[in-house]
Amino acid sequence: MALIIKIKENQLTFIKASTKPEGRYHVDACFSIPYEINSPYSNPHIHQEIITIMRNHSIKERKAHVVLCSSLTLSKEFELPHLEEKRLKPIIQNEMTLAMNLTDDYIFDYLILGELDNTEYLTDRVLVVGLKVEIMKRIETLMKGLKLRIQSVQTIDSTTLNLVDFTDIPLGNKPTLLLNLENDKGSFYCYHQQEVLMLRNITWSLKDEKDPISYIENIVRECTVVIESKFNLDVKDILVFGDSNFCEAYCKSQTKENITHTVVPLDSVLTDTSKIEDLVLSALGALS
Amino acid sequence: MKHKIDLYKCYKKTNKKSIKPSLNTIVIIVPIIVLITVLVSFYNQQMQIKQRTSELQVNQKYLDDESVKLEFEEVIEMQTTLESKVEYTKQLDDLNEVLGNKKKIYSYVFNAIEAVLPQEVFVDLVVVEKFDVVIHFKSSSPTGPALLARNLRRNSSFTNVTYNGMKQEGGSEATLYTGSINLNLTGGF
Repeated sequence: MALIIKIKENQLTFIKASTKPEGRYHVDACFSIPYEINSPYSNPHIHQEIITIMRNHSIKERKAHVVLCSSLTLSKEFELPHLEEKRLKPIIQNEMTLAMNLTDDYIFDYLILGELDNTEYLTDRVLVVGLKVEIMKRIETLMKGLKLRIQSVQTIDSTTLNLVDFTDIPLGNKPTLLLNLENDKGSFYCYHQQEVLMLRNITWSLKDEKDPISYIENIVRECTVVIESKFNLDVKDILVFGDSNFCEAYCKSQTKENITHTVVPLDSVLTDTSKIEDLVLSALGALS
Repeated sequence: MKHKIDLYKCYKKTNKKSIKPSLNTIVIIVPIIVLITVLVSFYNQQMQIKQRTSELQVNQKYLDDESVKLEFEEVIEMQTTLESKVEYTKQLDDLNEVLGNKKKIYSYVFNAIEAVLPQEVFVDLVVVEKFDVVIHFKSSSPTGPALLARNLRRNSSFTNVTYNGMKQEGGSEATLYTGSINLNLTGGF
């Protein structure tokens, strides 16, 4: 069993889970507590309270994977010439700093999404993620307060991609749009032939929208147009996971015959669906 | 291909570069550096001592060589000779000085002048200063001074004979021609 802590701006979610050989996750415990990660003050009493709650959920792990919500990080896709890893890293840092006009107090990591072979030279599509050092220090303080050692600090995008790779989510070979719908943000992953082509994160507030489903539809439409124009592909399947209420409502409202809308079946990801909050599914990819 | 993002690993790597050395590191590294410095310094000193000893041996061998000893003695002898010669030269210079300054009228000089003096020329004054001689004369004939100068030039006892010309003195009946001639005495005197 391993422990995953998903950190949002105002909430911590603890997931005690393990991977199973058949490509699914077994979740033993899952709970959320409010916590302001951006607060500059660290209260030892809160840490002690969290430890007590963890003990109540039989969480006795000494180390944990941290998964950061996209609102805490900056991410951008780049198309860069294919280079060795040690040469690519400084280039990525430079590109990201210039593209987003960042100061020096950011740390960066990257993920190679795939290769572009339609250019004269081999080009990598790279997802670069940046995190402010200050937030990392707060995470360190939190983990120290919880008496936990940090195993890794990942982003929700990378864990989602890992989740898709590890599990049997039915992507197929047709152009597929995978949506992660949450109340405060939406993530869009375009897959084609098991390879991710495009990745977008949008911050929204669905509960404040008069018609959240139409709002989601509009953004999905925009995404499909971008995919069509950029990759010359028609999205045939849309898979949705995340907040189950929005997922169900969105899929039921879709009537287009040429595009299928499906909610990701939880049993394709989990051995036991009773012990998990549907919003933390993507964080499980931290274990893969 | 990189498949996993781990910002904590990157953070640790970045931090590692700027981490100050721990006390343990200082406790271990500083004595090692000091030890290395001492060893290097000791080695250098030993090498210098060895080099100096070697140079000393070479020099001693050179000094102990018989041919060098002979050359050295020869040089000392030459030096002594040179010093005695220098002393002798100095004594001669002093003697010349004394002889040169001695105001002695040599009858030989007058005899020599007398011998070449034409009949119509009379010597007024002869000034002898070391080897420089000035003859002041009077002549009843205008050709007398030139004749005297010519005779002096022809005499081997004199050299650098310079005729300074003459002046006419007195009236038309008793005309005298006066002048002077400078000359040097040669080694005969």
